[in-house]
Amino acid sequence: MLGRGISRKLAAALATTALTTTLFCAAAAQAEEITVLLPSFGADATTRQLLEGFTKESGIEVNLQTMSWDDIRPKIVTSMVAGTAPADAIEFDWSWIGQFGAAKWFTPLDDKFDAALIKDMPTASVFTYEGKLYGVPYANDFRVNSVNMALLKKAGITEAPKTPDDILKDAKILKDKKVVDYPVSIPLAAAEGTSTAWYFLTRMYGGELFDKDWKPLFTAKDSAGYKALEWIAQGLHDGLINPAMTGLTDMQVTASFAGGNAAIDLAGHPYDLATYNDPQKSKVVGQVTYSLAAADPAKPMTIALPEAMGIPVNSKHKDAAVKFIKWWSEHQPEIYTAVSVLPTRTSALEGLAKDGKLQGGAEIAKYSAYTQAIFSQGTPAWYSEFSGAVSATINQVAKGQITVDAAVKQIADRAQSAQQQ
Amino acid sequence: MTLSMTDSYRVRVTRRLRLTGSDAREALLGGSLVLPVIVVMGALVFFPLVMTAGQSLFRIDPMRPGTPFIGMTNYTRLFNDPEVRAATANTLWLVLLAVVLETLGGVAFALLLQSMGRARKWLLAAIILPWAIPSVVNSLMWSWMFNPTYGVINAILRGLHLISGDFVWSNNRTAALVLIALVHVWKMLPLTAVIMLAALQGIPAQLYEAAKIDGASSWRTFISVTLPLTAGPLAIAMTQSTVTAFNLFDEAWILGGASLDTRSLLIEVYMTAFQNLHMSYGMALSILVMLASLAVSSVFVLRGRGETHSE
Repeated sequence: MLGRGISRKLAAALATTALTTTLFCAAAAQAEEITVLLPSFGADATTRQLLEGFTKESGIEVNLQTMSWDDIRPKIVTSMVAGTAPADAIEFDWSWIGQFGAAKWFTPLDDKFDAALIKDMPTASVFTYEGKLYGVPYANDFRVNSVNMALLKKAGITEAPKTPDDILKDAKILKDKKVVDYPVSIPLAAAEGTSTAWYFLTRMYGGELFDKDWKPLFTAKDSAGYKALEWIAQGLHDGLINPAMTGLTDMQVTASFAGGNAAIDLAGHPYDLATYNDPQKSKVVGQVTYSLAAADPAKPMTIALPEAMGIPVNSKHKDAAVKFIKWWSEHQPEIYTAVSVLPTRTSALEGLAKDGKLQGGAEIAKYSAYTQAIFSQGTPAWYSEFSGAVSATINQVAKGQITVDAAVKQIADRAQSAQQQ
Repeated sequence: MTLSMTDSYRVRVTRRLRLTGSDAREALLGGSLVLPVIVVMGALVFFPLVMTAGQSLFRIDPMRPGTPFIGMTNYTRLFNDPEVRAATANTLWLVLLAVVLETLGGVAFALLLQSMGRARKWLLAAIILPWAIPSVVNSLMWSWMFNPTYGVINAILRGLHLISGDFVWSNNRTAALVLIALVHVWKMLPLTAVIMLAALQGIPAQLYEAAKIDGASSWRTFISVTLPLTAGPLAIAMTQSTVTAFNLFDEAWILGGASLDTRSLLIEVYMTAFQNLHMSYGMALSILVMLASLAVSSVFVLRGRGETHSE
């Protein structure tokens, strides 16, 4: 009798275990997982912790993959050419919209997000191609000058330079007083950061790169683009810019500036202050402030370089990816506090500034209002070729291999041949 | 007992048939051993090659609809592209520097190793080490050493009062190309040295003794004995030097990025296909790079084969 009782209990226990296991496995099989590919923010563990909140809310697991920003584009291109999705929600830079929009590699998102949410993101229009929205901005980016006021004060300068000429004048004082060997830092490697620095300088001089018919506006000597390139050549010629900048990208320039090697970082990022004020990464803690300069100080302007998240057309989890992007958009303030990804929603920026949680808050809030897209007509499909020609040519100018006159002609020729293709 | 004419003929035919059967079995065995290589090479090398060559005649551009046949348009456009011309000049300089330095250095190291006794294995291990280091790691290491501000090279030159400030190596095209070639040679030279060492070890010692008895000098012995007997392996070494130099990417990309001064043809292919998304234009360029590499390599192979056959 006892043996029979034990057998019954054992059978019941086994049945319960089997049922529980089956239910668990069924639940596990139902849990959807999406892959998210983003640039490395330097705090992946913190980001992963944040994403657990999304999983709790939605039941969707997130497989977060991070790569260096420069490596993401080749991954997208190779995957999409091969007909596979590199991830379900993926980094989408402003500069890719022309190519990826023309290639129809991403899912239109217009009807998947509330109009009010998109309206709260002024840079969303940058991700529109032929009237369709292909990316939802998640990281705000524009260009500002980072100024080390402690070094300026050592040279007797009390305020940040307000015009491009002021920058060179202040730099000369800093050099003459031997406060720093090379006062101005600017990326000059043959890479995207060099092109954006030139666009930013062109905007400082109050100009555009192309007219409405995509005709270059930077070849005349009195044009903003020409003056911008001349400014770079002058800075190098006068020994105000380190000639070794020809080998540095924008992120390397930021690291160098954090080491106290320059007083003014031209075309810095609005999130650099988090690095500069981090004692583990910087020797200039508490010394740096943001500034904008303009040839006409009454009309400061800067360029918008936002980053978005898009969904590849061949993603198998489009709805889950939409939920994830919505969740990110709604939690931008917490994400900024944790990993310094600057919000793209105006309301989120205002809230952070109001709570005193925005690094360089007053300047960021002020300067973000001056941002404008680099190309008012939208980023063209031939942007990559144009940008490559710009950075390679500026690199040649910086090395003293060609004149400014030859450089603007070379860039214009390349722009026109890229348009013809 | 003697065989009649008919019997003799029958025996010869039977023997021939037996031999033919044996030959067939050997051929079957040989074929079955070679088949996996043929299949793998066909699938991974020849099929993609034929596909690439074929597709280079079409316009394949993800940003534009359709893939129309455009014949040789991509190839003719390449000759008028200033960036391709700059990359071609850079690559030819890199190939020349790499092949010459790897060959001379490799032969010199092989002769040095051959002349050593017990220390040979230790020196061989030391020489081989750079070959084992991945190209990217190798390039990063050298980029730190050549850093204008904190690099060890400039520190030494400043210490010797040969330079005063921070000399920026990459700002001088010649210096930058030589630097990239040296980094590549530093990695690839050991392979040439090992190939040549193996060849040197196969030369009978009697030949050197005979040359010595004949009163030949070291140089004469090298020219008349060593060089002819190592011509085949030398051709192989020079071929691999040529092919790897034509395919140079990592060193140029890490040390010079997309700079026009140092951009190699493979970087141009990468930028054309994967940055500018002109896929078939990039394919056409890659086919031309392969043909140029094959043309130069075939000179070495045919020359080496000629030397070997004339022995």
